[in-house]
Amino acid sequence: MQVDLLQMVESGGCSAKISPALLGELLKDLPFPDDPDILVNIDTHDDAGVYRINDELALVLTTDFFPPLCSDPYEFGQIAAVNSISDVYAMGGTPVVALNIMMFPSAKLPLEAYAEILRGGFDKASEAGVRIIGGHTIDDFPPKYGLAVVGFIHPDHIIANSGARPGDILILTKPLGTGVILAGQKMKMSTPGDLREAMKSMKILNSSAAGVMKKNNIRGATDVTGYGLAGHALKMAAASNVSISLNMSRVPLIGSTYSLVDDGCIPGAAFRNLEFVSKDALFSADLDYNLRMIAMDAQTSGGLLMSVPPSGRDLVMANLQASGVEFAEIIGEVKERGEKVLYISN
Amino acid sequence: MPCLPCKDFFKLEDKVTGKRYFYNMKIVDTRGNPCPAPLIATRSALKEAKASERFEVMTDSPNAFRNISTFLTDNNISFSASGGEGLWILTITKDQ
Repeated sequence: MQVDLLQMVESGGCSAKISPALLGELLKDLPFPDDPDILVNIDTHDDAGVYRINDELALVLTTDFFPPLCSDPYEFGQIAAVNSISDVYAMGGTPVVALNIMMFPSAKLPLEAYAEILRGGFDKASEAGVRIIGGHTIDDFPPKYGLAVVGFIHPDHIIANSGARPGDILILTKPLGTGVILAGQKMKMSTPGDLREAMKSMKILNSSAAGVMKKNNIRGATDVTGYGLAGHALKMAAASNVSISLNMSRVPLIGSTYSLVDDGCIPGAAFRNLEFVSKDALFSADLDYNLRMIAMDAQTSGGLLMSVPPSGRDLVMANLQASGVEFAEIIGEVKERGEKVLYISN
Repeated sequence: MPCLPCKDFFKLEDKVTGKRYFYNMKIVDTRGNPCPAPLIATRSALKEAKASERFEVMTDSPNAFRNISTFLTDNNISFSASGGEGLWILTITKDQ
């Protein structure tokens, strides 16, 4: 199939997500239902909504969709599905069913492309054990795809943004750099190797990592996506009423991410995320500028950031390695709330 | 504001007075280039510039203008900025 979805996407691309600062302001004044069965809600800016059905079952609901970030429709479908399902894993849930959400420019793309996107989504959903049981398509440009996902979770075993505790160490399960490398692709600066590594990383379901979390009774975690490592760490620290400190030199990076950033290939989304975290963050005086911006880089289908009690550190790392989560690294720690919420150093 | 299409040292003719003079500051014209091309061009110009050399970056994107300004500030690079409404110029001085 010779369709190149990247031809459909406006050059620019700094646009997919609304600035978190602005979004926070907008959502603040929306009335929120007062219902004790809502177990996790927008207040703690968590990864998904959770609604209790009974003492043993709660539903996890989440949705994600976006325009293409690669040429091939099938791969786009795969990555979008993995990205959508990830939030369920980040809450400690098991994804079960999903609906397709598709916006497709039927006048500009052949219907085969539509089918290929859905096939990619279906294949990854199947890999996760998720049944796609319906969906909705409208005609729109540029194309966008993703899923609305429902998962199951035990109400007492929710892994929330508010579950980080002072003394915990932080483990990140995927390397950073997808935002930088995808921007570099548009600029023709990323190498084919960079792209391959980025695509491979984005297609990995967070199921193995989530399995390790559940097995080890981890209580706090989030997934690293559009707000970057710094943005998601900040949200977790804010919800948990702690401070988080990140050691950027310990964070694995994909391909040439560092040198791309050094050459100025820093997506606009990274600057938006920087604005979001700035007032609550302290950067160490000698923090490498490139590492600072890498912390801000918006990720697509990123890894889990889990908050692990120190006693569980070695076992969790061993379990992750054994489950094939080969890039898991200890990248920071949780402290009592200090003057700032987020501390970033080399 | 005269229109400046060239990227390097060049001659400028004042259309009002007819006077010609050399405008000996490098201009990096990023107009029309999508993000993050303007920042990449700025970074590249900074790497190539000699110590204490001044050069200008032009952009027509408010986002690029803001992001380049943030980049320069966060890297302690001195610059001044002018413009608005569709055209911004940053005059950047590479340090010693």
